[in-house]
Amino acid sequence: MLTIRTRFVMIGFLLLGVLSGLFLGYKGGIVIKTAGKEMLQNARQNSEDGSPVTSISITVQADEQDLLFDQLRHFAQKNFFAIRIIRRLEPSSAYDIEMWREDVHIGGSFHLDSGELGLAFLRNHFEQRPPQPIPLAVFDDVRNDLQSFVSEIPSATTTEKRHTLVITTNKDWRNEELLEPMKALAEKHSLEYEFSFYGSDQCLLIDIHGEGYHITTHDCERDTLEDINIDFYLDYHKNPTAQSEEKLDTLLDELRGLFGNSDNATVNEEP
Amino acid sequence: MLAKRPKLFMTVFLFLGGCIGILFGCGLALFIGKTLPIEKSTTPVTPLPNLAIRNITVTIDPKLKDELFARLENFADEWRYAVLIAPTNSSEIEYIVKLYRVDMKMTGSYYADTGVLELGFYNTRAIGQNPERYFDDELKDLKSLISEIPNSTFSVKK
Repeated sequence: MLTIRTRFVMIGFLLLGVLSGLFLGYKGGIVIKTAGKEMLQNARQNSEDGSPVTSISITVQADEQDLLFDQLRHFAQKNFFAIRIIRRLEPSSAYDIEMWREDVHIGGSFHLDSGELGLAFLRNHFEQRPPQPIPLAVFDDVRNDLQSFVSEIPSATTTEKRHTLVITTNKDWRNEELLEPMKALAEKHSLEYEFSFYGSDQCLLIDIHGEGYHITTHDCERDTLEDINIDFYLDYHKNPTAQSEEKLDTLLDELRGLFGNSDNATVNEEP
Repeated sequence: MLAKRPKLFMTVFLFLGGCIGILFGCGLALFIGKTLPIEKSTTPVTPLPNLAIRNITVTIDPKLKDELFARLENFADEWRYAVLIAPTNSSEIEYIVKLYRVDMKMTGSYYADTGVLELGFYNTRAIGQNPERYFDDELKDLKSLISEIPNSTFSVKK
């Protein structure tokens, strides 16, 4: 039989254990929470470093490839970029293009079959991070200058993404719900409308083409719910026309309205 | 039992209490605790020194400038460097020469009036630590390319 004193001592020991545990546990929890937050911050920072700040997409006729490469070299020389253009191994007919400066890295490829040049502008994270972040204006200037060099090529057409509609679907969503509004929009404005299947017919690709602009989207059969992006592009030689810009804005509003009637999707514009 | 071994049970109670406390304390911290201030990965105001691993000096007959540039471009192609050779101003006396790769880079100038090319060979990252033999292997190749230019000299300093 325990004496009252022994019982109190035991309860005291239990309480002492709980209190010390609480103190240690709280401190440990704070350290764990801080470490988690720090890891998240670092991961975000790294992904920002590795993701393009801006990009450019230009199409030229395949027979103007040499002229394109000359223009890229002139641009690199003017802006003090080291440049490397290298053909990929056969049977690929694509070229990899890289340009390096202490602050900016430009990387991408040129596909001979389609005449498409795609370049991304990134921070050069192989160099030391400068004390101040590189202003976005630097990227804009470099991009605009590159565009002006390439637009010297007679057949050059710049493709610029202006808007993206993000369709968030629910489990009742069907492919047809993407097809119908797109088709209705194309028919209403007498635009060229194409759809095709790829990836063993698992994916649907839809394109609408107009004078100086195009709209494109794709949707694949999937097990999980994912957003569908509808991208609105302007296509121009040196500068977009006001007419095509206006038309693309109109189409954006109309398509948003058409998807707005669906019970299985919500529509938002990507900022 | 409890009465027979009170010391043992006191220790067990202390340990048990500790475990319960740690569990609740940790949970409490994760839900309502404020994180410690995180030190931002601050960029040093003064950049880390990135000293050249090798310094190269090439001299040629100034009339053979184009041949030198062609050989530098061949070398860049062979070793997968992006390359820049451009006059720094309209007088075309000084040319900036850059060979860039994600791990190693060469930067320097060529002086058209004297026919001297000065290049530093660096790790691209200031904290990068490529073995020195990597630099020497590539320099051996550069030296053999440059030596094909008549009356050229090639020297390397550590």
